[in-house]
Amino acid sequence: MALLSELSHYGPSICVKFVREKVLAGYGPFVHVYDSKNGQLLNVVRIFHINKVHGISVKNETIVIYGGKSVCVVKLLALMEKKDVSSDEKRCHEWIIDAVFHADDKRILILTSYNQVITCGYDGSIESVTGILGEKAILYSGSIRVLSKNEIYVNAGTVLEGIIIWDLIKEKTLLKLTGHEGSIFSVKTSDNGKLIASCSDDRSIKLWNFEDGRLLSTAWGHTARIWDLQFICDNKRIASVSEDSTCRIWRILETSELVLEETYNVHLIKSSWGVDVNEEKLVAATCGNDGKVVLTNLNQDGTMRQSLGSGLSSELAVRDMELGETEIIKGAFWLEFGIVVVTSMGRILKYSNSNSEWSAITEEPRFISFSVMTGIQSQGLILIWSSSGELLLMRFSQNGELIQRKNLSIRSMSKIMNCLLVLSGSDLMIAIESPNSRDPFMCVKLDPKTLDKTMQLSWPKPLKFVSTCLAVLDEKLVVGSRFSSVAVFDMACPNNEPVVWRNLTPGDAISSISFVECTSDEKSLFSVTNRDGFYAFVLLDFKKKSFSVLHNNRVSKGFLEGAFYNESGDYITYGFRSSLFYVFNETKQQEIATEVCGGAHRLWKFFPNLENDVSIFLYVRAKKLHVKKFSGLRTIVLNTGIHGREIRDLTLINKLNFKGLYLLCTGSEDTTVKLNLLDSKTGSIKTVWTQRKHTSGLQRCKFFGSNFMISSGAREELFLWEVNTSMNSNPYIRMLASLPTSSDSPDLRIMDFDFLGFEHFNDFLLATAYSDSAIKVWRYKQKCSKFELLVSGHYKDCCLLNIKFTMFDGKLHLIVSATDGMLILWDLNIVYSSLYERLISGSGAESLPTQSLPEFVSRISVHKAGVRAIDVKALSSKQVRIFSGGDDNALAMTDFKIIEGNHYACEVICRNQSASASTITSVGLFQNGQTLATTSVDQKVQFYNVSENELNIVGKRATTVADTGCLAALELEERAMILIGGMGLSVWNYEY
Amino acid sequence: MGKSSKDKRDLYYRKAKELGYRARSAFKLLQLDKEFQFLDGVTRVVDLCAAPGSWSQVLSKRLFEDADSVENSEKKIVAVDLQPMFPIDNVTTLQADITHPKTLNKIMELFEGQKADFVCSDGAPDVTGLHDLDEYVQQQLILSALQLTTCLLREGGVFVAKIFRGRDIDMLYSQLGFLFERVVCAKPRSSRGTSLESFIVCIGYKPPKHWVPKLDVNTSVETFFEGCGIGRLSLEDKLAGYSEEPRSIAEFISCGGLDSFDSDATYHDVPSNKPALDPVQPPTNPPYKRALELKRQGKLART
Repeated sequence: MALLSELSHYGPSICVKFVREKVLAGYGPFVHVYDSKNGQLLNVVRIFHINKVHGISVKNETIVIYGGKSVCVVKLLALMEKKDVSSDEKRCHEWIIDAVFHADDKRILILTSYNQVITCGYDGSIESVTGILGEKAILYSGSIRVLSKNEIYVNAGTVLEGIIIWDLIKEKTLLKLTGHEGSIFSVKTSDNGKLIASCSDDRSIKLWNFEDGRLLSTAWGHTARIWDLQFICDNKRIASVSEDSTCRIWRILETSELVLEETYNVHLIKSSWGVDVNEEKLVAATCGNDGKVVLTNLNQDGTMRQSLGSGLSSELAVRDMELGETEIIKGAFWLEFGIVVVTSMGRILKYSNSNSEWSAITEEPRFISFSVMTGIQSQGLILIWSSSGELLLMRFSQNGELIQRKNLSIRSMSKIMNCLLVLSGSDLMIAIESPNSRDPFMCVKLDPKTLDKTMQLSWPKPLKFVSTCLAVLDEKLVVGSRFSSVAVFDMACPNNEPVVWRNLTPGDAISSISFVECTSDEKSLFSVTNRDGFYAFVLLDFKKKSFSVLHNNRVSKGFLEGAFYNESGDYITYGFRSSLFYVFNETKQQEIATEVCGGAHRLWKFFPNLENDVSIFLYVRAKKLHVKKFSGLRTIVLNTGIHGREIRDLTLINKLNFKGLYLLCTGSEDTTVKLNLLDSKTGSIKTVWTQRKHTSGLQRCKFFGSNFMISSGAREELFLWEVNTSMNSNPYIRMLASLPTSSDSPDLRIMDFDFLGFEHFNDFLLATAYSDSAIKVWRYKQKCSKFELLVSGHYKDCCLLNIKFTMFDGKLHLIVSATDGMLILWDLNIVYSSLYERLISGSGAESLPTQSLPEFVSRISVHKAGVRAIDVKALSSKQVRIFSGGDDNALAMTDFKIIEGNHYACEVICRNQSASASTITSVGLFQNGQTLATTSVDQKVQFYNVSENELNIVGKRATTVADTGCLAALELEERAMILIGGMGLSVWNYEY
Repeated sequence: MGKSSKDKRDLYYRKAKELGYRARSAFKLLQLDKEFQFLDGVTRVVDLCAAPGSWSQVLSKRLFEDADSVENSEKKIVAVDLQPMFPIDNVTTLQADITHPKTLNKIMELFEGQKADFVCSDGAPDVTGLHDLDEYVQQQLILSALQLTTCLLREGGVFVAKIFRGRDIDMLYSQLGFLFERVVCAKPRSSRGTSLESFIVCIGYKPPKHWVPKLDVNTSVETFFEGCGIGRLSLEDKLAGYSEEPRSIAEFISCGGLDSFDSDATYHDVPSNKPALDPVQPPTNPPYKRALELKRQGKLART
């Protein structure tokens, strides 16, 4: 057997625990140790052979870790320094629900799923086994609370019979709490022994009196099952995590009522499993099914300590701004010293952070009723304009003194609808637009120091154009507009008509446009966002007046107001979602900040990325100005994880890489396709983009050619993607084409597809296999980015599982596998040759008629149930071999060959009926077809040596990845990287 | 089984409603029986974790096919579940805990002291999404069913139970192999290929000699099987170190015929305008019903 080693693992994390400033997180059989101060991963240590880590308890320097039937007592130092402590793994006869330290620091207490407590030494020597007669009920959850040597209470959360609280020392049932419906998922006693908190299937949190078992209160808020909870803040609050992927903070009032205080969207799609809070720092660590470990600062505003005060206030104090009865705020801007505001009475006021006071600057009757304010932070500059063409520029010093003011009047326009202010190099520019189509589009250049007008340019206003945002690069005004359009006005050639590009993204108004980078051939990459939730990276060629979209995507929900790359190269988006303003790290798929502001329809301004990682969100709600300060430190992602649900397929190829890292695409049940970068040395994976185009769970994704990728799923969804690795900022991916659909059945899945390119031509053939037994062959027409149906038909009515093109006897064939256990062969050469002839003869643009699928030429029954996975190897020009794994646990090798007189023969060469204990979900050849790897749902990966007539097993390893469903091998020099996908993703190194 | 639009797609789901079965899982037992013929000539049958009762419906139809048979008076079907069940012809329903000795006594009373020929269980816990925990809970459910089964199944009898073919399924195969002549993993066509669900068909019950199974509320499943040598871990004076537990792979059989309806396939022949059939039995009250009500009223919104 070759040398096999695990390089990295990504997958669900079930538990997380603070040890002072270190964070321990369970990942499969491993524990990750992080430093919460700088977010660094300090060590990865194997705890168990196979079982997963479900819980961690800490006492001083000693840690007890448990999961499944395994338990391990270990020193913190060993977790910091060793790579493997599984030799200390101890096994219990039953599933362990909780394991904690006894009061004497010499023993541990283990609660089993049958409501028994085992008291044993650190070495596993059993002292006693305690249970309560008649209370053997199976537990989903439970905890042991050690108050002192003689006060040890077991909180048992049963599947069917509510909560049982019993006294371990007296061996006696104290309370039976039966208020919940369904299984209990967590139950804890507060460390002062006064309260019990519990949660269950019924999605409520209940608070009970420990003394008499009285139900004190019930709280609702989570929208799915609640998995874990914990008393925090001196037992005055509760932190809970749920299947709804949020972490919530609840305040316990004097009346014992529970009030929902904060909701943090910490994880993706499904299930936040564990939570722990560092009481000193008031930081919550959570972990989830998506493999994320996230730190959330609960005390961002510093109000958490005032536990009975006004709660978590979101505002900085903005007091004493006196407005007249009918006076409202028309504009506001944040400068270094504080805030500048213009009101509907034309009053201009400022607020100084240093003395927390408002003062009037001036009163300008021309700004009565209508005015708009904008500005430039770095220049201390404010621009106020009115629709009649009055512009006022004001500059403030760092301590808030008004040091410069300048008036401008625009008389050449009938009315002003928009003024956009931008600083580019040494130019300050104001782009001015009128609602009147006969008025020009104007740009005024100012000297940034004196604010004197240096130049005034105007162009005829383009048709269907309503400006929304502006960027300036090399004398070009790049103006975003409604109708998803962008216009470029060339200031160097003011006589040239503006260039207008339409439909850059779906949706209507472009909400932001910002420059990203230049290419060596002088093209410029811009990030463009559309308010309707779409964003794109667009490469503009000012010389050729052309553009190309390199990347397109949409945000998960809500309106998108803008986006930018932060200092770490993460793409940050912000906008509104129902009543919230959100800031989201699109790269890490992490909500960074939210503010309940009432929604998008209000005056607001966002100032991202200020000094010290602070952002400011100004908004007006109910006539009042609110200021929300977001610290970039609210949320720290210790581990970005990967998909929130099962990975259904993964793909990578040698030739596609970016700065030495391999491009890896993963398609998941969570409906997203991720573009990731894989480090071939360490196996570390970093997600770059999460593409939201599919509306259903993925079935397959595969790279194709030099830079294409295809993904398929239910609702007949199949998308062709183009990958671009030529930029410096990031690799990019865009959806190029989608396959036409035939019905509106949401269940009709494209189970698999294959493609075949033609030398010297960009068109290619695509074969698709469907869940309704349909087989289709398409031609992709590169010229028009469309698929044309060439062949259509059905095999039978059973679901098809795999489809592969193969050239065989010099002719194009199609191999299909199905749920009826068959491998089926079609001769499709007529399709291939007629298309090839057209391409050669130059008449490729014409459409070909759709043919019906011919009768298959051969088939053979190989499996007793569905043929889940196949791989194909050509043995000679007349013989092709299929490796197949099935639902029936079998692995087989089958040959199709051409014998004399164009007859087909097929034969099962070998079949191992019990190759695995469960469905074989993927098979893959590597090492030039000499080695075959298989995965099966029993979480085994097996390697076989392929000989002429046999498959000889050379290796078998358990994988941590549950629901093991797909694999990919990347062949490198003298080794291969094996990637295993399912509920998580593992990267193994296989040395030849 | 509610009145959802899902039945327009799932053929077994729709067929179950048309034929009056309470759940599509009825076809799983029908297809298993077609393959193994384990219901031929049986007299006393126990259906564990029976609610809503579709397997009991199949058992009832199958055992009482011939309404005039003189043997009918001998035949007895007992369906046990913690949940209440609507009555089914020729089936005695017991709302009881399968791990409790009283339940065993009650069944033996109904069987007038004679042992059962066939015991089945289609039970499954609510899954959490933690694969290892879900699989463990399912195995505990099977072992609980097996406990009761060993107390009431005659030698040579048949035990059928739902399993999930996950990580440790081969350990269960190994354990069952000690108690039965033949252990088969069977997958009916009506069970989706994409699901881990399969059925363990254990034929020819052969309890170890000198082992007397004894149900007791205070003994765990582990203690129950101690001494019957099925290779389960037992508690001694020290927690054991890590060792591989015995595993074996059961024979696999696909049943229902590869030509019968494929539960993974998409069928188009159900006209989209055909009205949804009313459920045979209305769905039970889920524990999160109150939470759903609050959500509908908009009371679960964020702060």
